[in-house]
Amino acid sequence: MKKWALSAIVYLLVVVGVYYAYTGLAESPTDSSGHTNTDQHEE
Amino acid sequence: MSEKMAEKAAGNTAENQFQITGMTCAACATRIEKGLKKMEGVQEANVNLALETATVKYDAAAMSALEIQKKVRDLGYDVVTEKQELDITGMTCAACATRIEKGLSKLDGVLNANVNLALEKASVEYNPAAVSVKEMIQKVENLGYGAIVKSDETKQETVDHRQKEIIKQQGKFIFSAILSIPLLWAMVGHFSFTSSLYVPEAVMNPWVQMLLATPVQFIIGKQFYVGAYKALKNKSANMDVLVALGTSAAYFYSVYLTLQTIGKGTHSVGLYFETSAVLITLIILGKLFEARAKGRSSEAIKKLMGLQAKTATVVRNGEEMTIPLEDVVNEDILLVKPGEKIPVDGEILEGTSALDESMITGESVPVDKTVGDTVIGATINKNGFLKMKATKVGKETALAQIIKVVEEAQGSKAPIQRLADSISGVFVPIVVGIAMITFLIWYIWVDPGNFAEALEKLIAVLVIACPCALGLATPTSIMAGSGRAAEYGILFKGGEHLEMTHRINTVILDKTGTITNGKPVLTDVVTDLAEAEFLSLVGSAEKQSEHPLAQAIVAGIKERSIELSEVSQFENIPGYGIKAAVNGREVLVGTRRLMKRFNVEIDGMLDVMEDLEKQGKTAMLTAVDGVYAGLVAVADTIKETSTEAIKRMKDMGLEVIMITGDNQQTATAIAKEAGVDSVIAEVLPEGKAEEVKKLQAQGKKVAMVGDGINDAPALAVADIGMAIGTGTDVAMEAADITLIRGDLNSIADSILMSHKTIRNIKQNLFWALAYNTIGIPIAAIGFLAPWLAGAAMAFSSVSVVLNALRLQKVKL
Repeated sequence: MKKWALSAIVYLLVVVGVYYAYTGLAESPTDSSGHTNTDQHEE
Repeated sequence: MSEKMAEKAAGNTAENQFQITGMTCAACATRIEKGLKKMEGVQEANVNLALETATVKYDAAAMSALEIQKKVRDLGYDVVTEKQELDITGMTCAACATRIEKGLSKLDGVLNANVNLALEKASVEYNPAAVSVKEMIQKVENLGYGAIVKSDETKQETVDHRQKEIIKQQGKFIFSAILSIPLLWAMVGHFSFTSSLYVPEAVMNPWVQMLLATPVQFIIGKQFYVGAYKALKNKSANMDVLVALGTSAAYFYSVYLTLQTIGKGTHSVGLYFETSAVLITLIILGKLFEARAKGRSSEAIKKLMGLQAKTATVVRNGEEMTIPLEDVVNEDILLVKPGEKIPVDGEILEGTSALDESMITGESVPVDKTVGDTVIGATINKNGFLKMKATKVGKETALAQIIKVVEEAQGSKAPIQRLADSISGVFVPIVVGIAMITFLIWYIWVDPGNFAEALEKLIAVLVIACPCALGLATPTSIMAGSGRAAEYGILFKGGEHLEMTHRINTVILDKTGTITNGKPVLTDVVTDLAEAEFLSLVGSAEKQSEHPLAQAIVAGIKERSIELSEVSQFENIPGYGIKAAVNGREVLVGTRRLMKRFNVEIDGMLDVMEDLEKQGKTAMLTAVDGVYAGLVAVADTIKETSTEAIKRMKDMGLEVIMITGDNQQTATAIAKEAGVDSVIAEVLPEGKAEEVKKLQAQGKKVAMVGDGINDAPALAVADIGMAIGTGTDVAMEAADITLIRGDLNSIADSILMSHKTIRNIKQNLFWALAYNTIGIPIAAIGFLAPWLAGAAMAFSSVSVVLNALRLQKVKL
């Protein structure tokens, strides 16, 4: 059980970390302000 | 459960029980059942979703258990097998190894046997429900070799597979939940009333969402794809198909929208990643609750198994030793100290004690036992030191038989389940059809061109319609109901009997041993001969009979210290009496009819006889060498609880009838004392079944309650046959219900338990059907978001199982 929990947390941190690293790298040279948010459907 | 043997051989017919894994709903159970029934040689197949078992009756000459297992696997499910290693001794060459291999492979239930000569080891893969390790060892020994269980590392593999499944599902749920929460967070952040909620930028990104949803969809959701594939491969559909379809639609549509953002850089609308992930998480949570609740429903068996002693103190070769219970054999001399459990069924050789038999009979008052009395395994020796002889061990003990009956009942199907089976068999294709129609109506008519909206409705319909609650409704109630009844000493032989019992409106009670204690005592002796000579003749003749009245007469005569003679000839004439040759004289003992049959003149004695009978006594006429010689009278006493129990049955609106072979007067006297209004007297043993049929012809639903071999035909003919006793005789075989307590209150209790179980099943079926029939239109209209549909579906299964578990708390 712990194995599953740990895997999920590590995976989540990696995905979020990669996202922030990518956006950080993508924004700094061009200083662009384009955001990549999603419009979620409303329930 | 590994020792759960369920094999019976009658001619070439064998019955095996297989533990099945991979079933998700009633449709799976129906599919396996259909698949097995199609096999040549299979006579009957019964699959129980709640117990996860398949009970198959088949022609052992035409097929083997292995073929059944293969078939189950071909259908996309698995059969639980275990592996056992045995240390083999006595092998000298490769031929020995081959011989053992062949011998083991021939055992029904052994799937694969491999013998290694060099390591002197046999590895056996087997079906634990069909064959036991003990039988394998026996087989090897019969072949002339020695075998012992390789006990160290192999034993750890016999962990309950259900427990493993729970742990696995828990892990999956946590994994799934951790990845779904951010997706849910992103979704919640878009409601107008939660717009102030902080939502991290990362979880709003479609690519991040896709990366979070993908492992949930394909790692956690793999089980649904696999299940759906297996079902579709076999041209059927189950709950997995609906889940796989619903979540895949949401996931792949979102992937499509995400891919569209490439190059555009910014926006994507209407992602449904959270729908697929949250759905899978909720369904896994539902399965987790379900697995836990299912485990609790088999507690009755666990409790029963826990009753038996683990070890026994045995005297062998004059030496006392403590050995495991399984090693006790018939005729072993056992010692039981005060406070210890009686290890197996047996007979007391020395000592007296009070035994607590409440765990078997439900009787709370300890029973005094002395030399010659029988004792039941698992009962507790309260205060005396006992030396006993084992008479029944292993599967023959009363407790083992009780466990077997309860297991069979829990695994059986009630007729009411056919309704659920037939509905769930066609349910999935219909639901897929409804979902498609819903999609088209929304896409073409309600909100033209809005694919996302139409897709959402389709997913909600697919998910709310899963028929898993429907499949669980009946078996869980049967399991809980029959388990609870067993705790009260009522053993239902099958689900059909548990269902039928609530329809009973007439109860026929056998007199001797049922209403009365069945232990009459000798009260009167009337003869013109010398009393000692007369009683010696009567006692000698009656000594050969096993009838309780005969035993009472013999016991009474022995108390008078009268010696009995040898009998050269003996004939039991059922319903009439006996005929015997004692010291060269012909002795007849029995009823008026017996005297009439042998033309014995008895007119002068009829008044005396009638007087005795008016007192409720049974008078037995005696003739010696064709001439009337006198009579003996015995009287039986009514059980303490009979009057109250009969009143209780009458209060429940049941018609109570007493049936007996006694004459009308004796019968009426006893019936009056017991509170029975209706009496059928002077009935021959074969006539009891006829009387039952007559009542059935009047449209009555009849329960026959009896205890003896002579009641067996009536027990078999009745709508419900109830046998009283510890359950080892012919009556128990013929009966549908065994009442372990001798108390007649168990009759009312069993009817009450049946009522409560059936009510519980109906509630379950109602709720299961209501979920689907109400849920589908609500989802189609658009009032149910997909994730809510998933939660409702998970809740429906859990609520059905929890409702069934209420039966475990029923007080009778």
